[in-house]
Amino acid sequence: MRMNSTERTVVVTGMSTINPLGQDLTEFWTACKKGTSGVKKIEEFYIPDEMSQMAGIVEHLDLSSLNLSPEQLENYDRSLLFALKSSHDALQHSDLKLDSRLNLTNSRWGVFVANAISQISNMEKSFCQQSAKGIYPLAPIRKNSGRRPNSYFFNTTNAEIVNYFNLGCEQVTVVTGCTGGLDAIGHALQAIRKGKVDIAITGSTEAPITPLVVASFSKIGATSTRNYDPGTASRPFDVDRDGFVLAEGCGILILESLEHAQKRGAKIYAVISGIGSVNNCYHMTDIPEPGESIAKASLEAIKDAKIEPEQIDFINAHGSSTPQNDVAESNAFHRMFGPKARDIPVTSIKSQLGHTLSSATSIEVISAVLSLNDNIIPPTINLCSQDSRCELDVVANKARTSPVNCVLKTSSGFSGIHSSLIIERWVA
Amino acid sequence: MGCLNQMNKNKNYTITGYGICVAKGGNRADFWELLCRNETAFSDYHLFGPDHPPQTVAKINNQDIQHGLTKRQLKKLDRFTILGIAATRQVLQTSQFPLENEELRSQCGILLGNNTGGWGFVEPQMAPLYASGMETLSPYVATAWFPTAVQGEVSILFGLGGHSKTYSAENISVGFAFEQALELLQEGVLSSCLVGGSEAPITQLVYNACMSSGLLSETGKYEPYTSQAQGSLLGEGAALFMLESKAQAKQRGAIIGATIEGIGKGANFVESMRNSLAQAQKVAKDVDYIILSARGTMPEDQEEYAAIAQVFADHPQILMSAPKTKYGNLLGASMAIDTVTACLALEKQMVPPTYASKSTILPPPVGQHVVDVPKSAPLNNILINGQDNYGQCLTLLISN
Repeated sequence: MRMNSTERTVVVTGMSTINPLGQDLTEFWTACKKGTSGVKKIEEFYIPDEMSQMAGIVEHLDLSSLNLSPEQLENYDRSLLFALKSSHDALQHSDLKLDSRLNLTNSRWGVFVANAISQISNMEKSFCQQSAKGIYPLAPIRKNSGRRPNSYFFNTTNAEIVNYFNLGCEQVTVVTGCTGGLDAIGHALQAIRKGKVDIAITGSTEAPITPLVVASFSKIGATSTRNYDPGTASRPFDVDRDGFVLAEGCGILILESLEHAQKRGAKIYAVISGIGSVNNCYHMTDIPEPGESIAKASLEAIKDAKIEPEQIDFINAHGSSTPQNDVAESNAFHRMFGPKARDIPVTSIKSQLGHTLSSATSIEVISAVLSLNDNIIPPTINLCSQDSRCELDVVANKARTSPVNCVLKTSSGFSGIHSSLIIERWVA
Repeated sequence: MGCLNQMNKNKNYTITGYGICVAKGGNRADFWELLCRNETAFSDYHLFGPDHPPQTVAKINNQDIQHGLTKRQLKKLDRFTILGIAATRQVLQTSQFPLENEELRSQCGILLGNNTGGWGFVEPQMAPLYASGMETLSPYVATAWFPTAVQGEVSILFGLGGHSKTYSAENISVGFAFEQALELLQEGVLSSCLVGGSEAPITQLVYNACMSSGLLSETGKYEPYTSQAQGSLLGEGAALFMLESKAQAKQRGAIIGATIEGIGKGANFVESMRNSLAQAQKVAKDVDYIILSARGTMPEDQEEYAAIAQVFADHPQILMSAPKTKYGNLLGASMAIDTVTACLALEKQMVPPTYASKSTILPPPVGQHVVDVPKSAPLNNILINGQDNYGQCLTLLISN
């Protein structure tokens, strides 16, 4: 932690999530600790048998707290609806009441919410509307004829969050694929550290369960085809894993400078103390098995946090359940920690939720914060026979009570990016 | 804004090379020629086929894209990645970045702006996907489409392993990329950084989305700062820069180019321009030329003019123009192209004009709007203005 630095300490003062395990923190964490699977068969559209037919699905989305108009409910992309609800709940969780924000006029806000595939649900809907599902060729449409925000712009979701809460603040969307959530949190961390903003709404959101996205991942063999038993398909570190399971969801955190949080008497849930990120320069989708790049990103995060590697007592892994990633991560941890890598508890909640693309990392950061506060590590479920190449202390199938003070969160994504974050217990 | 007693650390970092590929401007020389001659890169293009009226866009002639890629590589990439690679090759050549130096490569990051990703790769596949089934989809969609595709492919092609990100904030995306680059260089996380933007938004669905949201002109004309202003016209292209410390540049014998001395953000141009000046530790009278945002709607254009009048009230010699009237609105790559314009203007000591007739341009409340023909002028400090669709403004200050 930055005790003697001139840069500001950055803390978590609120958070919320919508994901296949729940639509608020309590629902999510209760289900997560129990080792629940949120993965189900996709019923909304036909998927050929040779493709992955399942996903982590948010059922019965409840937006009643948002006061959205019928037009907004119809025109907003599902990922934006997730983000608005989660942001609203996270702000409530942080006890920041926007209608009294006049008390915070000296505060400077930033909104940095990532996504990997823009508002794909609306993009596909607009294609289908304009072409009758591909039957007719597209035709030009008139100016100002749209009622929806521009779904083809990757920054639209982030900007609409700013609009909805009337913040008029600094905003930019980090678009780095599956590491996006972590990268957005890292961006917020740096912005607050450097005094550019005092508070940030950050995280990521995705609603990728569409024909295009399901097909695109299936075509490169990235997703599991264990269609006969969806609840067991996402099985990180298991010898029978065969790919990730796509999922939808959102994770939003409120980050503040420590001074700002203490001044308003906010409850502090954790400290975000370090970020590291590299390119592997290897391949757009493959991860080099030795794990060097993952280790490099993690060691950079540890250095940035000004801690020692020995302080890490829990790894919240990327654990995507692909044959490649899990071995590469294991090798990375052994590079970093040597023989002690076998003793540090590791878990991947993608086993329960599936892989929510950019929002996986923000949801997993939230779970890491909850672990810090509860000293409970949620399980990696579906771990029946651990891959012998992954010599790790994976918290298998049942949650574990364990002292958690310093978490390493890892992530990897297409385009060769590896990003890691350090999250520490707040000690007053 | 920072304490004025502290040195502006941005001064320690310089552009040592840059590359560009836009319509009728596939390299720096051609681009400057386009900016100075009295024509645009726009043409009528039947984006929706011959049965519909054409759209006026600035599309690059494929022969002008010097990407150096094989047919096999091209099959897997969206156009925005191909443009980004073409511009990167120019950067590496002009900066003479030593790719054989593994340490420098591992500490070179890639920070880019983009707003629409590789949708052009995906769009032709949507009809077969929905009409015939998911099996028809190309296996390259997953990697061609993400906005981070350029950064990924460039990092693999040239072995650049440093901290890399892609940002979306419409026309100010590259401003955020430059800001992050300077911070990472100052912190020592990177020793060099490839910074820029790439955009290939001329697709049917993106065009329709931009038109329906009110961004584009329906008249086929891009006439900012006139009473006929009705929006912009889309263009495509890429521009990238190598940014590194002056010390490193000198050590390896690279050319010391322009510096990005100030980056200012705000809820309006008054704030962003003043913040940029403050960071650069300069005053309004230090600025010689403003590259205008040119959103191309009357209210936004007038708002920018009014902001300039406020900030530069005591500087009637200020010059301004909107060169993007020649090559279009490049969305997430917009500020990268503007920065090339600034670099070339500083080199040539010449202000490229707005493409318009003098009789139609509304005079700014202060200063001179350079129209129709380029104007020689002593140039040392240039501001670049940009804005997103939601009113967030960002201003760069580029210095000689």
